[in-house]
Amino acid sequence: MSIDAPTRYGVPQQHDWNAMSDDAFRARVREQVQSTYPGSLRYAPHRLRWSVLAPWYRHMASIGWIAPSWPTHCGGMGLSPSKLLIFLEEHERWGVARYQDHGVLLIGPLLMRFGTEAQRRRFLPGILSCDAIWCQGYSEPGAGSDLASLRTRAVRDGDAWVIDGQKTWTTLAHDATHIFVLARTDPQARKQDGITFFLVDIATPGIRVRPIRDIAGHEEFCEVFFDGVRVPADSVLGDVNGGWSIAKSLLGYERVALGSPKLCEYGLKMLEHVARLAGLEDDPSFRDAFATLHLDVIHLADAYAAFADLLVRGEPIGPDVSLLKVWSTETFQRIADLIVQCAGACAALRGDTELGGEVADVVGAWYKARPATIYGGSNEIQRNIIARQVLGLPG
Amino acid sequence: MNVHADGADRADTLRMIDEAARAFAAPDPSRTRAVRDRANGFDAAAWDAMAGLGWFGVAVPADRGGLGLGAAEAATLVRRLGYGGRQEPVVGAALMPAICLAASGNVAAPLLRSIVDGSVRACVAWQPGDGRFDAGRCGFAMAADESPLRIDGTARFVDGAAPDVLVIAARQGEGTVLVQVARDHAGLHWQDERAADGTCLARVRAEGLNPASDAVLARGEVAVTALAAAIDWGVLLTAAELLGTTERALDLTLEHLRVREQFGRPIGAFQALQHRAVDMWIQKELTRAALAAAVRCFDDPSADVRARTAAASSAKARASHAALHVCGQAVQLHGAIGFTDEHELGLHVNRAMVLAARLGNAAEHRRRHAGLVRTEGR
Repeated sequence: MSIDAPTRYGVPQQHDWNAMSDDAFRARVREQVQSTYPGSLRYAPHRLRWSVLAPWYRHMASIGWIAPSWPTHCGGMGLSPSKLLIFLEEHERWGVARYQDHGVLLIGPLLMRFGTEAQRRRFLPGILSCDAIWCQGYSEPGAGSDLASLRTRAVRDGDAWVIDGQKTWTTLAHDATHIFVLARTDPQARKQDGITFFLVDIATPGIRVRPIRDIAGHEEFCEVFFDGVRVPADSVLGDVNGGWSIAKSLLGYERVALGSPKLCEYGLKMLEHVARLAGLEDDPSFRDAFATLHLDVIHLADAYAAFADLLVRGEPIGPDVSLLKVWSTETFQRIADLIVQCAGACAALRGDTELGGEVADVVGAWYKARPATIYGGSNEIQRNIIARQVLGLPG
Repeated sequence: MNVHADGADRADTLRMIDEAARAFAAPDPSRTRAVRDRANGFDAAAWDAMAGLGWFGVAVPADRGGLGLGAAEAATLVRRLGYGGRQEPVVGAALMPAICLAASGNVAAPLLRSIVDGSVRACVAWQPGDGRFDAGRCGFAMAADESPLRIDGTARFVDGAAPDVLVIAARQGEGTVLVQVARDHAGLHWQDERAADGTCLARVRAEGLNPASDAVLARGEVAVTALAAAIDWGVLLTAAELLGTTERALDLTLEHLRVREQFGRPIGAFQALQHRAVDMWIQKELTRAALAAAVRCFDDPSADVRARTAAASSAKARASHAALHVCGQAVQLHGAIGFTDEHELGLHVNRAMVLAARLGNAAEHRRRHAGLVRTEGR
């Protein structure tokens, strides 16, 4: 099969993946992932640092597998929605750890939609080669769920913008080479209307990154300080003061992917494992609780399949997709709660501990479950969205 | 077993059935209440009208006098009846016995025809006194010596608003026999038990019941398979009916939240109530997803019986839980008016109480599902 347009940015694709049967494509992805992904990195209980993941992802980049959803002429695999779901499913099934993939998930698609040709040429190759790792500068100390009240500002000065302020909860900023920043450029406008979207090299003088230690003992997110940071005028993505609508234009498949049942399915396996080690596997009250959670996960998968089906048919994803995020993260919390209960006294111990003659991390899931209901729009915000936009309740 | 038209035609058929059922069963609480108070929820004219539309044969193969459609159409139909607050026992006295008889061989053909054309209401009677519903547990036993046939025992939770005919499932040794018996046959004793929604479920006792020898509809493997199929369909369709009930209770609640004003604004503007409404909606959506998955499994000719049973249990577990959650919250969000018999909500709350408990409640189906998938995985 020939590819209609040659790529301008990355490695050319060797196959027209969409011409393969679903089964053949699934087998190909599975084979690729299983034969190359390091076994020691499967099902990591927390986000892994780039230094650990880089060798494998750079290998994927070298064979042109880093941007499955991008069109082939932009260096992606050009997968159709159904092939993309298979691709993601096979990665999740094998427990492949996510790297800081905002470049592929967000910046690439946003550049294709809102960027200039010069910006695409400047930023897409780095994302495709994994030389550029992007992090997200949205939240601020005073702007979390109420993101539009952010105060980081950018002021025009000749052919540059000068950014001052502070971002926080920036996941893996200490691994990033670039940051995309929402900053206020018109203090007089209605709060959503005076915001601009900036693409910034994190090595720019005046930027300081400070990791934040979380309650699980990890350093996954950071504060990022901007002190008189001068960036060139063409760092603006889209229109000046038009950043809010860019920030809100998440693609359909990401909103669906946030609700994937895979994390819960992994949690159930962990739960069964811990219950077995604790000798509770056949305890009737455990079996009842497990049966309830199992159906909670099966019904999540049923609902997920319906949204995935919409994607595959190319139909729009509505605000009701927030259902997936709420139900998947809260179900995962209930699973993690039961793991902790099953582990008994061992749940006081951090990291890998001895239980029933084996070694297990019995609190990892519980900690992983906490931020899940906060990030990506807290579950309270998701409920607000459903209440207003789906149920038609008054504001 | 079913003769399906191709995809596009099937989608059209489904839409037509959906629209017809919606039009037929538009919510009319005064009617539901009147029929409940006058005739235990059974309206003979409505029954005849539904038979006239061919609905009772919706999942019966065309060569046995049915519409030859599948679970998708049957579930849609029943869901709309549930939404409209219809209490006629369509699942118990038409669709379940029709499935049972369609799987029972030629001797059952005349009774099947009468059920499909609406001239006879029949119920499958097997549930023992404790209400267990698996095919392996029958409340009746048939004597080994068959000259003449003799059946003793008791079945409870017989639906159908005083059905004309019972299809009795009786144990005989290690096997099962299906026998048809007229309502007024000597040796049958009927006692009505009043259900929460105003309908009646019968406790039927057989004492020295001697059916004619040609009353046997099926024996052995055929009988067990037919009974199990009827139960699987009954579980699936009761879940569908519950979904309709849940949807109506939710819609009434959302409307109330939009129009009811306190403290100078609609109560639906309060975030605490919005979030409770969202959690009700999530349960309803999960029911919809679980039911759709089960319906696909029923309509997939390559799915095995065990997968089908598990899928039906999955849907019923969610539907029963969701219905009681939504209805309980609905009463709270309505305030005192939601606890009165004069408000439409109460009809659905009571219906949900009955259907959630019928053919296995949420806890029973969770355990049943777990048993089916657990042994499968080993």
